[in-house]
Amino acid sequence: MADATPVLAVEGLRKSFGPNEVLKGIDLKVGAGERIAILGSSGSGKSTFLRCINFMETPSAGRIELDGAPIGTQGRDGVLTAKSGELRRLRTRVGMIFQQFNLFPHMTVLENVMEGPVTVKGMKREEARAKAQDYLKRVGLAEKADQYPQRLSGGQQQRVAIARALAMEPEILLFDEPTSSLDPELVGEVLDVILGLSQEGRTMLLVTHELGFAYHFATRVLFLHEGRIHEQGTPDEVLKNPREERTQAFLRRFSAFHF
Amino acid sequence: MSYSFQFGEILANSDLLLRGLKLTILLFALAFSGALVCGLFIGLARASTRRIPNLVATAYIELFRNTPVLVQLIWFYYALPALSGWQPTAFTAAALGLFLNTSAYCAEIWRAGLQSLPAGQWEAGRAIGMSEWQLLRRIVVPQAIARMVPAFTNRGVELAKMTSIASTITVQELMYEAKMLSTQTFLPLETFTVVAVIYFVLIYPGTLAAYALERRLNSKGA
Repeated sequence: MADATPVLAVEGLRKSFGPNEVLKGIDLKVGAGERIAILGSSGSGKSTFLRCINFMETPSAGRIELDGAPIGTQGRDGVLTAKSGELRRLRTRVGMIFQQFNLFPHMTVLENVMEGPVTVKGMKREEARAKAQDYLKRVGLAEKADQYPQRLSGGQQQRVAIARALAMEPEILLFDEPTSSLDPELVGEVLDVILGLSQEGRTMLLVTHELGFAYHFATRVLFLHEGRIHEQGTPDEVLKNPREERTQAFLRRFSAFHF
Repeated sequence: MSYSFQFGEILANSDLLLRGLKLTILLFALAFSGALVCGLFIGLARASTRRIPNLVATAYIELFRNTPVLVQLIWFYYALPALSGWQPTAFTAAALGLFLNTSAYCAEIWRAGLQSLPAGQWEAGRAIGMSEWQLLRRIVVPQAIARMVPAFTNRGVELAKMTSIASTITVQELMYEAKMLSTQTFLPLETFTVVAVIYFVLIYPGTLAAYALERRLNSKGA
């Protein structure tokens, strides 16, 4: 990936909420097909970082490029502003999966997956239906197509949410703690689906607390601390032989109760 | 108990009342349909975190909610021409006043409805690239509407009765015709009893329809 244009490039990204600066300058280049796991304790800014990439939060300063093209324009004060049309195009290219799934409860599973292609992309219903059924099959939920989301388990809902994001055929997928609100026995089925996607060579960024999963999933692991990338490297480097004291302390807390 | 009701003469003149009823229905239909739509936009401004739209919407709502409708109608009919040089007909002034007044109430219903939806729903819509308009149409309004129907029903019932105030600025709707008829016949008790029945027959089916709509929306999956 040395000379190829990165799919995603982030430069000097900062984000403040009032007087509280959560991100203090993040630089990151992501090549096509890279899978990046983002770790860090709560308050480290990892979710905020992810949400800045598709402008669910507007960055306070910095630069974000998709395939070499900057998103938004930088004002004199450094603040990025993007027109709503540009934001919509960005979001069709960068899909997001939320901790709380956020399925549309008034639509069936199939309608949830069809919604983006039909309403946003203007795809014909029949075509969108066929595509949606394909994606539901991919996440193992073809038989739930006509159910309403609240009849599904949390794990199933999250898999539908993944299918909904996939249906937009995004270039990058962002996962914001996709298993954090699931019962432990439902985590596995969601992680299996995400691992399956990684075999397709998709570019993905994932915020997680599942260290074991991060190890198997990622091509690169970032450890965020106090709004900066504190350490990064291959899963073996960061998770097995961390150089930084903070990273070591963070990982120790996770292994405190191993038996 | 020596008074004996004489409905015969009132019923013989029912064509007057029915003529008035047409204007009552027209007033109601115009004001209510306008207020439902306009209320959404004022409600959006009211729910907005941007200062200016929020301030304007709040001022509007409080102005119309905290002054008597009677004064508002009189103001539109008599004061507006003096200030603007534009003289609306009595009907236009009444329709405008009732529409703006009801919009203020509907705006608050919309605001509450919009804000009752979890933030995650807005985010999920934005995350697949929806415009704000698509979000409203596809995600927000369909979910909020079921919760808002009872409040809108209340407003509609209130408005249907409020149209009678238009009689004070000479709009020849049901109440105006009733007042005329009662002075002509010297039978106010009979006249207003009949009028009450007409209002009830007009409004109650609307309420029933709203209940049915509420049941239908609530049974639909969500």
